[in-house]
Amino acid sequence: DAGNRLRFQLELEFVQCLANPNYLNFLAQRGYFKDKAFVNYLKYLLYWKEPEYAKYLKYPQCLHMLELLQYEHFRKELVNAQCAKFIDEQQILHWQHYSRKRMRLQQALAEQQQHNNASGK
Amino acid sequence: MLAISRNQKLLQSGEENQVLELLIHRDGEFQELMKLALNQGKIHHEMQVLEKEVEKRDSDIQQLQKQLKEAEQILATAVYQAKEKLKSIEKARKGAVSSEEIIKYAHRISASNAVCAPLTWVPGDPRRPYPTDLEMRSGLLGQMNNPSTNGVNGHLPGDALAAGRLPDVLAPQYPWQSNDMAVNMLPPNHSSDFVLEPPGHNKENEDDVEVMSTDSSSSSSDSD
Repeated sequence: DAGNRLRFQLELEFVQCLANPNYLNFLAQRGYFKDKAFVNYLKYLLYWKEPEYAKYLKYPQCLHMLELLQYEHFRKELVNAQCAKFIDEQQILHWQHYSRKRMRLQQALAEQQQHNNASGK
Repeated sequence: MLAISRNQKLLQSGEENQVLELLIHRDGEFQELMKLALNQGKIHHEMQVLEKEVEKRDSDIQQLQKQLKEAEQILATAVYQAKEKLKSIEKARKGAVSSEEIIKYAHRISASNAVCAPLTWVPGDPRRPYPTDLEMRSGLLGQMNNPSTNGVNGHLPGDALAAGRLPDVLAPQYPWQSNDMAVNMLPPNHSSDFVLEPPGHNKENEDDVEVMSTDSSSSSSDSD
């Protein structure tokens, strides 16, 4: 069923676009969040939280954004560019969290190996 | 005076017997009454004994009732907890995912740096934890509105080079646009409360360049 397949792919793409705070800011400024039909569409998209759908998401963070978008207060706040910028910064910092952690672990491991070598000799 | 004394004498002779008989009769009645009273006393005593028995039985029944109530309470709690346990077992069983799938998925989302930054990332690197404008425009949604302006497979080589992500041009689609979905994996039917096409992308491509990368809140024109 080509139509449904297309719809699946379109909705898959769109729901993941919601992970982009700049895009959300764009939508907010265009007034889409005030459209009741659009808000209903966002509620409909919550089906992506089910595991059989979620496994297709490359950017699962979009689900968190989707959940937040269900709240009117969040939708209103997104009109501000500073809000979007803040979210963007926090997202990037969080994104780097594991890399930093891994680097620290590697450093600690390297230091310990150095220590062992030094005490061995 | 004489008449009264004569009457008295007459009374005495004629009515002595009567009075005596009356007396005997009265005595007899009295004796009967005494017997009756004795019987009644015995019965009363028996009644008291029975009442005591009844009281004792009553308290026994009340005790039993208390115990039954306690037992019911305990059983109700146990049944309730057992039901809760069954519910959570059912829930756990429903949410069971094969470990292989989880590992595959974890691989998928980490390999593409979607959830974890690449180790060489520095500020200035265009890669992001979300689809960037380029990716969005090159996707299916973007393609739907710009069929004629695209190069090979929808990628303008200049764009990709500028973004510094040359290898991605070689992929036919970005991996975040699924190609391997099962055909029966259809989205649920939507209600008629909203428009079928996500509206954002129709306008997005025209105003993309000025709005998405910068944070300006004004756009030059909104074409409908």
